Amino acid sequence: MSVFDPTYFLSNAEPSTLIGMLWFLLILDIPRYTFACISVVVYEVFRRRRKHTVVGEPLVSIVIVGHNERPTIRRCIASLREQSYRNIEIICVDDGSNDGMAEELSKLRAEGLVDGALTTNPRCGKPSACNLAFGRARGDLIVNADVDCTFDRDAIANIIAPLADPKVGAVSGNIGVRNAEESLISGLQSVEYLISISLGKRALDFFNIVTCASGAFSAFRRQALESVGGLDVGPGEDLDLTLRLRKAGWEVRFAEDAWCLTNVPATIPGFVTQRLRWERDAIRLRLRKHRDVINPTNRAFYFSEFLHNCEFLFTNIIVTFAFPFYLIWLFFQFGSGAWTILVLVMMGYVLLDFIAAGCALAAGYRPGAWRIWPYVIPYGAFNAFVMRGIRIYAYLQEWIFRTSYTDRYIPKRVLERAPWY
Amino acid sequence: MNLTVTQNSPTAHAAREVPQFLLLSSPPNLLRDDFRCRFVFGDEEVFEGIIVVNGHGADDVEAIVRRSNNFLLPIANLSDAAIPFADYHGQGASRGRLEDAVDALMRICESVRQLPESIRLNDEAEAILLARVHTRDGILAPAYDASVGRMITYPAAGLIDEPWRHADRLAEAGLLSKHFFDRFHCCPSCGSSRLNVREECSTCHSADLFDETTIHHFRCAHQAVERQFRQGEKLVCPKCSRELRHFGVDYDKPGLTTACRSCGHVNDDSLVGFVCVDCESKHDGQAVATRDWYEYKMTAVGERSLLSGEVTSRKDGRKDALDTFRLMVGQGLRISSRYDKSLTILKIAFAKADQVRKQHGERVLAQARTHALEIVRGELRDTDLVLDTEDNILVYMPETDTGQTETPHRRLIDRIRSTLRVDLGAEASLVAVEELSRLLPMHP
Repeated sequence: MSVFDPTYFLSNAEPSTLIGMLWFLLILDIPRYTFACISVVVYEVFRRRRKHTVVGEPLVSIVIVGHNERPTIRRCIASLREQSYRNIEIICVDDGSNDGMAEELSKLRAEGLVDGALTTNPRCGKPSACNLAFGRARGDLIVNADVDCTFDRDAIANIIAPLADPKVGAVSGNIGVRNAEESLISGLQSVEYLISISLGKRALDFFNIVTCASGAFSAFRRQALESVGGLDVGPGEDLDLTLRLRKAGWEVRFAEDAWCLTNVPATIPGFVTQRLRWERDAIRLRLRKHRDVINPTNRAFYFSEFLHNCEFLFTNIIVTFAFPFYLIWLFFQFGSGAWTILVLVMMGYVLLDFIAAGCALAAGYRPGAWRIWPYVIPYGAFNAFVMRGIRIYAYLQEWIFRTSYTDRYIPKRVLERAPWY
Repeated sequence: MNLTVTQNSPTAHAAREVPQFLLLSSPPNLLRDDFRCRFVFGDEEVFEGIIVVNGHGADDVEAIVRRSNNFLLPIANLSDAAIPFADYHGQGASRGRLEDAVDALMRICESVRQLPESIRLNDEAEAILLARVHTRDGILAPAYDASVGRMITYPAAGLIDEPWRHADRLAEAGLLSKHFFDRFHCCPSCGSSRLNVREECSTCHSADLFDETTIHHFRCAHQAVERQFRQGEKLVCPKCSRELRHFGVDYDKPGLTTACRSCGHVNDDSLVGFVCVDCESKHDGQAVATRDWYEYKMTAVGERSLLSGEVTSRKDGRKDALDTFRLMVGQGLRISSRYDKSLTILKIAFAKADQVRKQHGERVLAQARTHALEIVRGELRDTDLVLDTEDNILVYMPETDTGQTETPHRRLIDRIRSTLRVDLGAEASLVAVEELSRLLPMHP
């Protein structure tokens, strides 16, 4: 047996020594996972008691915006037309497409599958296209969904249920990965969605600190949307809207049983591009545009808003930036023995991820979800090295260069006029 | 039609060598002795055709034909007045036109003379129609006619009422062939096809629509119709209250919407609505039923049948289906009581049919019902018999105990509910023998 064998290491090392070596895992990761899992268990116990039901069958306007989405729009609409909740109107916006999406929308309109088909040309960007559709919507409840999503038959009924509570302004739906088996990278993202959305958002909902009603699938009370003027210029318009709704006093909830499925990037370049944008948006919005809510001296400061920002600061910034320092410290302290400790840390992640994924699946199992189990094993390493690496790079890009202001997600002519924070 | 043999009956004409035509209101200078026919000037005389020379006579033509009881009479119209069922139209009473009219009428008369007496004397509308088609170039062609609500007439059918019904039966029997001509929308209230088609607001159904551009304010991502930004000569964003000064820099106009002056609603796409010119009722595009019109042509079978003097083999698909269903169920009931065999009769009703008609229109309802019928036929055994009545679908299941059918019923209804795009409120129930006579229509 070598001292570098993890089993030997575990069985012979003093507890104090182990704690000294694995402090990152023990102090920063295990509490997070434990907190999430316990929250979900408690959540499940209390959930049925506070379940709301929408009275009557109010009209729900579903807004779908797409740019060059001709191949996917029909599938999305067909899925919405299968909903058990019948009183819906579907309004689609073709945002400056050149792939024939407008013609496809016209066909859908003629077939009676779509109630409103709007076209903008040139492309305006998703936020303003959504705002146009919000103005056209007739329902008091508005669902905004991505065009590449498909939905469980009870998704609309479930996502609007929390809006029965008049304090709730927005509800975020649960998102699963449709193409989990397309590649390793999509399989790893399916684990991430399960842990961070299905499990993580339940935990946040338990403490009423849901901070992003996802642009992929969320429901809003019209009054709430109008109170904040709809979406602002993106990117990150969904996070921005949620933060503004919270600041305006509206509660934001998570509907764990309102499932939609989406395709995630299946290639590394696609994944990296998407994540860099998301992470940059988080910095621009949380620490710049909405910094007032974390400044105790500001009039806009609220403890509940401070709480969710603390959660963001801890899980995203402190844990992310502490990790490279931990690695440096390990190699500085233990030399080549650091590799053994890293293997132990990774084993710890595998264990934690299995527990977290198990908790998420136990709370809401979807048929076929067992297929993601093989991806749980490498997920810890992927999260620790790849995703944290992307996050650090994106944060530095945004802090130093404000790269989000040149994102091609929004047309250049619009971004040039958007306010800087 | 009642047959009374008069001096103008087809039998009376058949023996005459030189035909006589009734000339209505003719100026004397047109007539000379060298016509191949004779002219008479009063309908008490014997005649084989009618030539209307000016408008005074046009009003009397229909009455004269009815009095004559000869619905094969050819008619030529040289007047300005409209006689839609005339066989020859030539405006202007000239000598040349009169000659042409005489030629046209003589051709038809010759053709009529060749018909067997049993056909010439037949008072059945279908036989008369078939004879008219035969004697008028073998075609029963529809013509657009704005003077009638259905917008279509069949001039070659003469005075036969609703000739398309008879023509359809003749086509089912293979005596005529049927060719699509046109499709008309019909008013659900009065059946007229004289409809004004217009673009309407999807909310209030007003036709007072106008186009309006949308404005996209770059800075705050607000996008709405121009009127919401307009403050006098200025454009001011209703979301952030900033003035929009420069097109292409502050804002652009990426779309066009249709707005309604009556209710202010903004439509992405206006709806098509119909107003009936005859009864003034208003209808959604989807609620308006359509009606197909056909041209009919004589078939070889039809010609043989006509010349042999037998216009028979009429078929009526719905009546046949009903008769078959009655026969099979009757026989089944007899076997059931004699040999103690079980049978089941199932009724599938559509509780929400009226609701679907109101919401989605007659066409969607008809499509959904047809689809439901296909599903029922697809799910049942070869030995089961399905009848589509106006209100329900009846299924006769011989040798089937009622207890065995519960699961298949449920599966059938589930299948209909999950497959159809609209909810017809399909429900299945067992039918008692006493109830059956009430459910079966008397005659389609």
